Amino acid sequence: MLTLASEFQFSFLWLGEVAVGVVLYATLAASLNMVTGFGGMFSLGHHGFFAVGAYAAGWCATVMPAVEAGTPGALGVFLLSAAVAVLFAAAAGLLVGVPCLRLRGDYLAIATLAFGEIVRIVIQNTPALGGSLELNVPRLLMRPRGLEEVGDFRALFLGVGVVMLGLTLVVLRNVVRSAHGRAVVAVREDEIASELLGVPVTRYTVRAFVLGAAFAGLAGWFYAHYSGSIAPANFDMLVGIKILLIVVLGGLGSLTGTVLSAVVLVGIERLLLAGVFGEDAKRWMQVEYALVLILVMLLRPNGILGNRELSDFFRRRPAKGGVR
Amino acid sequence: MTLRLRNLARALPALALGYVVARMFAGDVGGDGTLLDYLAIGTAQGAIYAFVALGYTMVYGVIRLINFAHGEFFMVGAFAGYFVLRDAGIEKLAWPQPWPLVASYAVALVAGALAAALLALLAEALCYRPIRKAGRIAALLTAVGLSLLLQNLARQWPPIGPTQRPWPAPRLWAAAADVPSPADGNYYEIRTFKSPSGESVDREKLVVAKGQRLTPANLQRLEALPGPQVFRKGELSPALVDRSIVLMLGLSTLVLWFLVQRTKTGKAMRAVSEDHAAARLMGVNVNRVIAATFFLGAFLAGLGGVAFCAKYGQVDPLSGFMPGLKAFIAAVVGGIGSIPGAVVGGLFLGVSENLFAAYVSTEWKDALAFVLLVAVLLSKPTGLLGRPYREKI
Repeated sequence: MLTLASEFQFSFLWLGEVAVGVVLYATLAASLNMVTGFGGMFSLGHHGFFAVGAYAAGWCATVMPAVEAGTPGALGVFLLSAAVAVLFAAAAGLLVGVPCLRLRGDYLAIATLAFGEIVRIVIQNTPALGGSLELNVPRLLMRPRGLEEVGDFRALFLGVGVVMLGLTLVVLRNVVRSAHGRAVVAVREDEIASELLGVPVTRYTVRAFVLGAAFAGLAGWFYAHYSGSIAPANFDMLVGIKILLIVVLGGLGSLTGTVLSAVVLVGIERLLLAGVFGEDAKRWMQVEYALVLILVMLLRPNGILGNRELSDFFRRRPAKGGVR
Repeated sequence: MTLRLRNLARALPALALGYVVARMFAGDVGGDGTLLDYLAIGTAQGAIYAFVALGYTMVYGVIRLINFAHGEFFMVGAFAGYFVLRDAGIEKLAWPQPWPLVASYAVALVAGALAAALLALLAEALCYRPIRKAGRIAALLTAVGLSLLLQNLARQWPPIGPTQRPWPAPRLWAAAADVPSPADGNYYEIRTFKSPSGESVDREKLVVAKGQRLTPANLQRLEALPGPQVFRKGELSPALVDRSIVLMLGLSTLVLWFLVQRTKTGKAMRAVSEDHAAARLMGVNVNRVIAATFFLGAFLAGLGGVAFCAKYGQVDPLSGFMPGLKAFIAAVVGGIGSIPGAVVGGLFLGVSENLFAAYVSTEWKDALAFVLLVAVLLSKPTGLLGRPYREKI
């Protein structure tokens, strides 16, 4: 099974595509980690916010007056659609969060799952968003002459994606380290104790939820512009499960672990899809994916890194009996 | 006895349900698009949701796990029933009609239920038992993984495959000599062909068309073979299917009530759902009780799977997904962990979904279940019949 199939041709184009996928899923998983890892709120509907962001951005780009790709005007629309996507996703997060965060644990998971499905059904039944067919998003980022080749276009998006991921990680890390973040983690550890200590539980959990939703919306914006056409089928429950799997594999409450596990999982998936491990492995991909999920859960239920960050492994251990 | 509004709110739906079921069994309901008709269809569909919801609720009751793979147990049960109906040839029994059909469906239902239940035992032992201590998220993700695994294994396994299959029509078998002349319908036989790839494939082949005579050559050939050799295609009347489903739900609920409330295993089950540790201290074999719960729940899901696919006339590897999700919602609406709640939730969801589709909109039908779910969770988080949840400090 491990003989390399001859049909697979390595190319930087392919590598770029994989890297874009990694960046996209790392952003999504980091935003979910804010909700589930740090906030302790179990969400199965994160793909709903991803879809809201993608469709908000796509809709914004289609209703704006046509601009020539690569001009400053197009760049303006590009950035404006990002703002719209984040705003819509955050609003959806608020709309879902305020009523649903009264629920805990499994009930919250079910309510968010229902939200994800409702988003998909609403899109399917809205003709302005393409219904159950595709919504085509106009290209905005192609530079005029010289940069028209597909590969260059992907490289451009890889750059955008890396900036997006970096922004997400920095913002989330700073939030987690702030007083706000400590309060959110305290609520995760013990809701009643933190309430007794004067933490306004609802306000902080809703904020964390909205923050996670907003960054998922940003990832949606990126996806809409990168893929050029979006359909409800791109945002089904499997996507939500994939994001959650990355978060759990990377470790709940570990941002670097999330990025690492996004590299591992998306990388494995793309290698299988490209047929590197042969035709059979490609055909059985879904089965293998499910098996990996189950095995990871059975063997390493706390993820690769647990709740530690990558940097914790390089930090010098304190001497025995010493104070840190 | 004083008449209270609360009692009335419980009695009225029960009376309405009783009325609809009575009219169904009196044979008054016949696909004519009246309110009664939609209520009857909704009741039958709700009964199937209830079958599946019972499994969700029982498993959640004992180990607090949302068993996402439950919909796949349903699908596996449906396929087991499908293979029995298609290949076992029980309809060939030389009994007066319709008993061969009844027997074949009885065997198909039991086979479906057992297949689902055995699969659930296996899944519990291999996946859920090792993960039980690792926390809720890990257990839930394992369940999701198992669901994906079963779905995709079914798609890859050649006898099932990814395509949708029509549910086998009932066959009324007869001996060639008993075919009236001229024939009272199209009579077929099963012939085995060699496909180009070398496999042998069974195909239905018309022997004599309606109103024609059997040729002497055919008659001689068929009479030389043992047993009944030709068949007419029957069909399942929707009203009959709906009635059987409602009857089955009634019987199963009674049996389940007896098992849970009146047997020792049932008592152990209730004890485990209260407190694992305390039950273990009282000498309950917790692992065995959990396995028994999975077995019972999946048994009902298998019954539901065969009934559902017979009602809608098709089966495929994704058959379990939507009914599973809806049944899960039904379990939550009724109050997850409560057995009467699952039945009430299932019927409530089935009826409201069908009324909504009939009078408001078909496209938004699927959204209704989810909106209902959120509404119930927000107004009464533990469901219609669930016990209020209180956090211990």
